[in-house]
Amino acid sequence: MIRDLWHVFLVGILAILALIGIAGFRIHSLAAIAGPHSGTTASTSATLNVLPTTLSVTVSPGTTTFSDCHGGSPPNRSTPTQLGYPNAKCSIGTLGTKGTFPVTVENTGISSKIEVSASNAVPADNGQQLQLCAANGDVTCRGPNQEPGANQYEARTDSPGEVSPTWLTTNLVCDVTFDASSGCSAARMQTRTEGIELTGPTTWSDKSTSYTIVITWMAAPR
Amino acid sequence: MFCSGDDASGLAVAPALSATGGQRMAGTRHRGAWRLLTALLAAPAGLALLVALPGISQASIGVGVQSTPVRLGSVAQQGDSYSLAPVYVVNTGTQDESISMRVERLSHGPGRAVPPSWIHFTGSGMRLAARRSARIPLQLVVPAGARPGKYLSDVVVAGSAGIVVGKANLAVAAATKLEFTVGRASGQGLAFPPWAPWTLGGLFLVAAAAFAFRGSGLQVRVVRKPVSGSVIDGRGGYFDT
Repeated sequence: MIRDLWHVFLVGILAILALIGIAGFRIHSLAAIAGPHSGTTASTSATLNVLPTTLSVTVSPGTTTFSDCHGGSPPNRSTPTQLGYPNAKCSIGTLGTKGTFPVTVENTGISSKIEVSASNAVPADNGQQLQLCAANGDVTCRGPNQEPGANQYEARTDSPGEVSPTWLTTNLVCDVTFDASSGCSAARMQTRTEGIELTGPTTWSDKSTSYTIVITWMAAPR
Repeated sequence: MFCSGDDASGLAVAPALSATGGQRMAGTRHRGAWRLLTALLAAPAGLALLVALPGISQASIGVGVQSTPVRLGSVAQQGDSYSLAPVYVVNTGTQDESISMRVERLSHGPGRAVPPSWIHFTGSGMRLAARRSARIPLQLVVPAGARPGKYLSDVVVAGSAGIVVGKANLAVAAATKLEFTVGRASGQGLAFPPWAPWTLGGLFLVAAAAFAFRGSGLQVRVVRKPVSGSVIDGRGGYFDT
């Protein structure tokens, strides 16, 4: 009697194992059918544009020429495209309330400080440079009425509606056109148009007829 | 006159005259077609120039650098060199640029300025196409005589499309912080760990107290209480209490 029960029990166990095996095979087959190796799949790609996380500044144009020159004393008066002396002026754009401001400066990165500096003016023959002077700089202007003296020049940037210009020095200074509170904080994608005016020396000693100036805008951490 | 049929010469002329008129008409048609073609070509060409010229004259220059400061993960040791994480640089302008890098103290905060000679740039002076980016490796070389402490400066990335002589060249730059700490070398003679002065001070106090105690003539007698109610005398023997 007990032996018969054991037989029934064993047969039952075998039957259960067989059912489990069949079910497992079935599930495996279904998974194989639905798997990536069979059938067809379709996909699409999407581009996600995100805000920049860089500190960056973009300026246009990259190169320009000073023009609209005026001032100087006869016989050394300026022509529209040539600086005369003493202390004549040339500009990029025309500064003032109804002026034109051809230089576009854009903070193309995260919120940062926008600062600006300029180089000395280097003559074409690489001879005697014109030193950049400014009241707020390391080099003070030695000419009459605090204007540039011999072999010196002065430059400032200005933008529409700006009360006080930014006097350029060889060291970085705040570009105040970006910040109404006289700072230089620039918000993301903040853009300013600027013009630049240059005041020349009383006289210069180099014989070159053209000088090169580099004006640099920098995005710096706040 | 031109259509007279009895005049040979007239007949001869008439076709000639007729032919001349045809040429004129053909020439007029030709010119009209040419004008039409010119007008058709000129309009798009003019529009193309209008679109292209501002792009040419207003070509921009721009440069960007990662806003995350460049940091050394560990304390730098004197006389060692370290590879810093490459700096991300991007040309945000519309023309190819020459990229140069330098170290300059711009940021405010505690820490010594990093001497520029300590940082070596592998890719400085490279050309970067418009809208392209690059990662430029940096190496920090700490000289043996470097002063220990915190250092803070900025990595300045400058972009230029090339200097045009006799012009006002506008340039761009971007800066990100550079931070690391220089520790004291382990083999340095005068180097002490931070806890050393406190330990030395404590030992000195203990020694001073012991010396004062001995000088005062006071004595301390140590007595051990036995478990069974006996005590140990000064010579180590037991006696009953």
